[in-house]
Amino acid sequence: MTATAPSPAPTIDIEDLGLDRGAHLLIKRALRELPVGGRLGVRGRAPDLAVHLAAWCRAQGHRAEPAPPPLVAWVIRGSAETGR
Amino acid sequence: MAAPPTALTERETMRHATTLRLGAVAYDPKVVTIWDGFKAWFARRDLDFDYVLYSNYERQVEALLDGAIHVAWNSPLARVRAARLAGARGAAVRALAMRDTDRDLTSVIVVRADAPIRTLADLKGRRVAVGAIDSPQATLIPLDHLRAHGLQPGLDFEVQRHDLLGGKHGDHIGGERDAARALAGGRADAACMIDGNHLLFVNEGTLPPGMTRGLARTGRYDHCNLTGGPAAPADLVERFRRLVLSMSYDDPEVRPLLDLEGLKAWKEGRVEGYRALEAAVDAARFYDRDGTITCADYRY
Repeated sequence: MTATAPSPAPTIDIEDLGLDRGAHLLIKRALRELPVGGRLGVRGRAPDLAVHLAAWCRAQGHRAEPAPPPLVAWVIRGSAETGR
Repeated sequence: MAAPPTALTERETMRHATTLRLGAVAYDPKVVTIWDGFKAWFARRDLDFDYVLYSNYERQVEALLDGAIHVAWNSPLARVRAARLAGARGAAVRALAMRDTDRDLTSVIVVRADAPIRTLADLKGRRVAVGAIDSPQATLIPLDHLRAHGLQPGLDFEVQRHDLLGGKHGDHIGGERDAARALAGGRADAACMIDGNHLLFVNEGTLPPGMTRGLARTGRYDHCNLTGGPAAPADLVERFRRLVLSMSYDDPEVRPLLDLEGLKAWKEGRVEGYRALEAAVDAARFYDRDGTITCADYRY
């Protein structure tokens, strides 16, 4: 039996687009591809991205966790969107 | 002439004792919708529940300590005062539950993107806009963050306060929004606000996109708290706590209420997240260690 390496967590690069200019829509769409509890790496260079990402995740029921550069954060998908 | 008050009947006395009485502050008309909705939800689960609205957190906390209410839906500052008042009486309050959105918040100190302000030291001699005098997130905690970095409010920089609806502990965010407006309008050099409100103020147009940037961010702290009073009936409060924690965002009946209240899930109450505010309250001399209001400018 051959052990297989787990596939790397998906990432999204939102470049210089901030959450104050619509980047949350891209992140939301990427999160929909993941199961609840799945991790999405977010990278980007918009000012205040880490602050806004943490606040947005909190409000949406997701979790933001520290991530090594070049990622800004890991976003852990919450269950709120699946319960409708 | 009105009839003299009569004593409660035995049945009324029994009902009074078995009704969970919760206090909430009327900072917005939606508070009535939320707690009326929760009341009906509790009733369907055989919990006799009622709520009392207060115009300010100070009276609510005093009512909690006096036993007029069993549980208070407290701001973080109200939780600090409740714990101090209880401690001074040799009693204790209990952190029952909090929203998922009450955990691990930060505040930010924001400047105009083109301002020659690169470090906190550059705020020396400048105008810093804050929220209401009793706002933990837009006044007390950020000002204490500046103190910790060697800047004394009122001495090293001018504090530009935006007092609105005193006693509501900044819940309505009006003072915070006014602070952001002062920054955008050039009447202040920096403004303090909760992290999510920076994003909100940009999205709603109070702050034009790209006009501001974060200069500093405080450590993490916790926000509101369902606080159990010292003399509240333990079984009744425990039943209430378990029901609150059982509310599910998947439940179509309770979901709109959770949306109005701004949460996806209730979490267990915790108190570690109030340390930063405790320190800020002491530094600002807002309450003394016994919970007495010592801030001379505070009106509610």
